[in-house]
Amino acid sequence: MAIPVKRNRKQVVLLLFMLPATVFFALFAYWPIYGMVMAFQNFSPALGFEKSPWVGLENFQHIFEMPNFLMALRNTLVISSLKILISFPAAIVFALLLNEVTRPLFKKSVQTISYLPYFVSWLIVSGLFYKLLSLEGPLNEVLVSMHLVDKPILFLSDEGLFYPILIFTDIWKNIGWNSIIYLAALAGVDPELYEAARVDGAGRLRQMLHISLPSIKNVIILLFVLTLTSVLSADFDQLYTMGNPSVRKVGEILDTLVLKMLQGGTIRDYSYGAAMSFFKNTIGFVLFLVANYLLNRTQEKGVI
Amino acid sequence: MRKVKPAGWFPLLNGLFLILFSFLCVYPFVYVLALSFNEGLDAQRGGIFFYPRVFSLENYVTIFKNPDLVNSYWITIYRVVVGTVVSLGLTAVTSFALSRDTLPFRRTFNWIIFIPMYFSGGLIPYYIVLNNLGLTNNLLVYVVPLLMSSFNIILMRTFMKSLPESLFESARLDGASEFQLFRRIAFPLSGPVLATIALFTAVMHWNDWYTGMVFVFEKTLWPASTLLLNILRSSEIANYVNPKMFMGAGLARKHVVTPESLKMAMLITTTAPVLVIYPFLQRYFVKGVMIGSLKG
Repeated sequence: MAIPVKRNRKQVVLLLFMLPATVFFALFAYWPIYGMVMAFQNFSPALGFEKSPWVGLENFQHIFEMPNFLMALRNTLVISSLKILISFPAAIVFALLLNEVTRPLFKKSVQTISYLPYFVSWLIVSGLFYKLLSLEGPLNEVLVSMHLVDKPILFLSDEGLFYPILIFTDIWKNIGWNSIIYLAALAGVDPELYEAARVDGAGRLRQMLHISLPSIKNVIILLFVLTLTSVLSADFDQLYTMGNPSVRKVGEILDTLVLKMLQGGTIRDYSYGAAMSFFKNTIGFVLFLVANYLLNRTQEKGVI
Repeated sequence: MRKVKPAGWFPLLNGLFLILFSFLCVYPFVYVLALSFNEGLDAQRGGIFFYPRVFSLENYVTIFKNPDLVNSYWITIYRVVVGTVVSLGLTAVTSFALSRDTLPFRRTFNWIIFIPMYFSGGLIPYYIVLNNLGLTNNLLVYVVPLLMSSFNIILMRTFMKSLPESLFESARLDGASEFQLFRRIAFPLSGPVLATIALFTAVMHWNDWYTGMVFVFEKTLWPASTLLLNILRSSEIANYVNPKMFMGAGLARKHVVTPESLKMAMLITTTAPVLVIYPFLQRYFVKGVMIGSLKG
């Protein structure tokens, strides 16, 4: 009988260890999740989540008639798609190119430098690029002195240039970090495969395309599917810090709009904003579950 | 490492490309660094690309003489230190319990911690909750709601699970309690993962401008990053430039601080610590990313 008693005491200690986390997640994760009921309410802070009057799907009807919401939804989808089409493959190409470097010191240096921008916040990155691209910044200075343009370009106020700048800075900030997993996978490729290909007369480029790339196929598929699930978040930090009133039509995304509903709106807007988040987060979560199901079926490598 | 003798145009072109790429990664920092050490009025003439033309420390002196700016850096330091230390302790305790087979309801706890990684209530309900808890416009908001992250817990749990069970077994035979197992074995042996999480948490706290921007309305309670956001987005910077230094006395003084030059110095002071420690992070984070991408 002594053993069960001891085990019970042990279990109580472990449960005590779990207490802070349980309280923490209850307050800061699950209470807000419960608070999503406000998407179906005419929420009033005085009445709270429990007593605010229910309005059914009225909030959702309203947001889908809001031009701002539809604009933000479209922008979010466009920006995410551009990033999936351009930034995602860029990291793979970068990893492949870096993998071709045979000098360890050079490879390590480039790698270390490429991680640098990942660790500074989007606030700083936007600050840096605003200065670089400003009217009196170095890029305009070079362009003017080479007579490529007549007068300095207002890069960040130009709707047509906004997406290219977004993609460029996204790649600039994240490419090194995003390539880590590919580089790790490439390091595990059997060197004999390359040897065999060389004997068959394949050059560096063909080895890269026919050996390196296929060997990391599974990793690519896994990350691609997971990236697809975040199609409704186009990176709040980037859009909030780079965006400005002159590019609002192309730069407003769901998350920045929700912030406006909170900060600049009326009490009624709280419920509309909550409905927007509900829409975004629920779709994101369903996409994640579907992706995970598919990955488990095909690769036995899901996340859950 | 493949040993191939460099042949053909490809390695050369590839090397050149990667050098250009590295240059592009570093250049924005170099440019702003040069401006921040340049005398303000002179910088307005343009033509500075790599290094200051008229060297001046005045921009930095202005920052460190301004009580509001200094105050904001103290708030940043407070949240980096307190946030990281408390967060590390709680994450370790939680991860240890989750890594033990004897924990009752282990599957349930795992789900409770896993779900928030992929599903959240959204900003507005979250804001209402923080408001109900009295955390808005309160210095605690920088620490308390950020104490734990599902990702970090899963990372550390995976690591602790990989510790050899025999260690715990023999300690238990010697009569060690679960708390002692944690304090004497699991915690000290988790050095690498603790370091990874500590550094990441510290960088997160240092960089975070969002919390201050959304949940704190009083400027005197903002960390440096939120203050920088405000300065970059508005022309309020003029308030931080000592008017005497900026206007009339500028003629008598050799070095003048302009709003722009001060912004550059603030960008650098808000970035520098991260740039200094990130090479040390390198050693750990590749491993961290790999563990984190494994099955939960």
